[in-house]
Amino acid sequence: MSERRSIIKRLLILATLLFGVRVEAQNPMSESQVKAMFVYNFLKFVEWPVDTSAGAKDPFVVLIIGEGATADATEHFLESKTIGERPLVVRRIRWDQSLAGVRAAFVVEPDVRRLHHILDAAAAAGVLTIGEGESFTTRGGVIALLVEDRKVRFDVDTAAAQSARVRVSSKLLALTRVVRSSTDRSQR
Amino acid sequence: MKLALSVRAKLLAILMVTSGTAVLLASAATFVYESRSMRRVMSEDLNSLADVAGANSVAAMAFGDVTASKEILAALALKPGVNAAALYERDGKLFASFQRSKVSAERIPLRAPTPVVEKDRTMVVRTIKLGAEVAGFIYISSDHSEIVRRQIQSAWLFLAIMIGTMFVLYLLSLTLQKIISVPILALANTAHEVAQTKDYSLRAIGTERGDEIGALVHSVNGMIAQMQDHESRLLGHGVELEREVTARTSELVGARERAEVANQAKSEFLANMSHEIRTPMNGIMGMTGLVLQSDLTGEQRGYLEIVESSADSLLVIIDDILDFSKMEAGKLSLDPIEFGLAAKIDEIMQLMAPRAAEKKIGLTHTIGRDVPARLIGDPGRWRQIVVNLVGNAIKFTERGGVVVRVELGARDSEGDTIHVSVADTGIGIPVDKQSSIFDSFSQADASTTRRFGGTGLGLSIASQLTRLMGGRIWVKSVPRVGSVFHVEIPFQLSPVEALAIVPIAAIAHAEGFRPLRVLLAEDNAVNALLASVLLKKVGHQVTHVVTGRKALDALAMGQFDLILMDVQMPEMDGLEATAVIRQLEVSTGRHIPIVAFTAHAMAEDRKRFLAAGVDGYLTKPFSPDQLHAVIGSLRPLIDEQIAQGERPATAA
Repeated sequence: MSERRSIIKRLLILATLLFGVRVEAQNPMSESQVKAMFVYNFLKFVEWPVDTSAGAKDPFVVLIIGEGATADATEHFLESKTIGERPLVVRRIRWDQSLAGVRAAFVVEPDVRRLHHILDAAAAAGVLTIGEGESFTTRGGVIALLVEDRKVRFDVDTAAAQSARVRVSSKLLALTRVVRSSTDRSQR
Repeated sequence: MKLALSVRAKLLAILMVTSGTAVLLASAATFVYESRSMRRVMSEDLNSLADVAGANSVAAMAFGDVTASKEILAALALKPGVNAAALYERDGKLFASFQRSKVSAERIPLRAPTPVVEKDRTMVVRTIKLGAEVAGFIYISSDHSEIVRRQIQSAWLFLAIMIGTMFVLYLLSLTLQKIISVPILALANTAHEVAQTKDYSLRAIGTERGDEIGALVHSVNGMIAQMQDHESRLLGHGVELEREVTARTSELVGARERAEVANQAKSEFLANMSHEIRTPMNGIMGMTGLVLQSDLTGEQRGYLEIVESSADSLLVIIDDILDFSKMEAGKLSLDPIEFGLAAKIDEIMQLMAPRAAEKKIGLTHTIGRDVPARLIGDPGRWRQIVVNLVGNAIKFTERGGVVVRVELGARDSEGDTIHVSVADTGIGIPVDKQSSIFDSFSQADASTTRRFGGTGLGLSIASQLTRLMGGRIWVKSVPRVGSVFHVEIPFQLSPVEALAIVPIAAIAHAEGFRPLRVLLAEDNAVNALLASVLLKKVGHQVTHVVTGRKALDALAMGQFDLILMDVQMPEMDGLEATAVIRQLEVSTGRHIPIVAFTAHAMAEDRKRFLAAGVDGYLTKPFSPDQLHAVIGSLRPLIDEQIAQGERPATAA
């Protein structure tokens, strides 16, 4: 036992040396902040069609459409982040603006008509769409963030992803609450 | 064949031990190497596993999905030996952990540890990356049960391989050892067979081999060939040796034959000498005797008596020398016949009496009552011994006398003995000379010879004759007092002891009553004259011829009652003539008595004469008494033949 204890002690010392500086991480994050982090993480598990025009260090453009706490937190969270070597560029725009050169969009749009318009345009432009609430995916969004048992979860509509020509990593799919496909939507 | 089995077993053992050790070492090395590499591989495996699991849980961690993370970690349980796993956030905070339920002792570290390999477990920590960022850490701990299991498996495998290999090696060795053992066994067998059968034509096989065994076989074959060569040479030597022995033997046989021939020649020479000396002696003694019987003056008679005694002495000396020569040549033989010892002693005493009387000393003899009247022996030799001893005693005695005693001696191993002692009162013999007194030519001292004369052979001859007859002779003497000579001789009793022979003297007197027609064949004129005179004196009628041939002629022309024939005559000798006469008589049935004169006094001569048909013989020189005695002994035969001759005459 003493041997084992000494090993554990040693491991603890080593762990302290490695991670002891980052004490502030202990503070609990707000729901918006968690959602913002999720948005950022989604970008890492999605692949886009190869853009021959874009360089390796060209800015990675993310749109934030609409208002709200999550939108704000996301904008704030994504600032000064990178995807690989590409710097993230966050733009807050109106719903009817051009989606050219955009990779992903966080959409907050209560108006269903307008939302459909945005999602269709995004699918056509090959933009990953992320929204909030179960209905976001049922209306054509790719990933929907939601809260369940005080935990942030997400749904993925693979059909929507397919129509937007983005590929969602299987690792991400393994974590989803519900995976919708085109057949699900057509049944509806 | 114990040795053979041993060589085979040794080779097998060598092969097995060598290859077995190699297999064992190889297995052990492989086992150790594998054990080590298993640990390394295990670490690598765990690293890869951690990497894969980490990659799989990167999303779950990114989205804080503990449940999903635990599921991923639980999947690690599929790998045997993994007892615990944990995920740590980027800041080192434990995110999710998995622990195999049955291993409760394993404790999950609260913080991400560095990779550690302990004795019974291996722990790895890998960084989980999301893109370029560190997403967190994964920790996996595995015990070594898998390694142990694999080691046990390997051990069993190696054991199986070893057993299999050893079996195959054994089979291989069994075949391969024959390459060495078979020729060695064959060689040993050949050597054994050669040793047993001595057949050196055998050869060991296997010389065609180029290796050391081939050389060995070649050497052994060479040795066998050498032995074969030696053997054949030895055989050759043996044959040569045999041939040499045969040659030597025949040489020896030749040498012996030559020696025998030479000896024969010597004997013949002795016989001839005897004859040549005795013949003139006969003339001297005979004629002296005749002259002494005629009218002579006292002076003449005195001289002639000296001649007669000198001739007697000379004859004795000659006889001594001849006898001695014969004894030296081993030619002296005994001629045992039946005779009367007492009569013989009396005769000797009569003979010796004149000598004693001459010296004016006494000579007496006594014969024991128990001495047998007749016994078997050689009377001539008895006579020689006694004459020598008595003559010797008389010779050395100046005063007093000589006493001869004959009695029954001690019984010895050969039977009864006659003991004769001759005692004198002479000069005696010094003690230091007594032992050599019987040696040849030995008298007590040289002055004795000058003083007393003699050949010095008398005692030596007596001694040798005694020994020849199986007896012994010795002397007891005190100087200036006298000597006693003793002789003890074994004898055999005559089967017909009672039969007494007519004394020679009596015959001599009885001989002359009837005149006979005598044919005398003698080439020596002196002897012929002596015989004629003696015969004519007693009234016989003598016809003298000089050869055997002439005797036959005379016999054809006239009638004769008796033939006296010399053995040695020119033209035809006496024996030849006798043989012819006997041949002629076969038709007539008559048998004319023939007496042979001879100088051959030896026993074998007498046998030869009798075989030739002679009825009696006289040894030259003979005395008148001896001549008359022989004629007297033949008287019955002569009378019978005369009667036979007259009968047909009257009938015609």
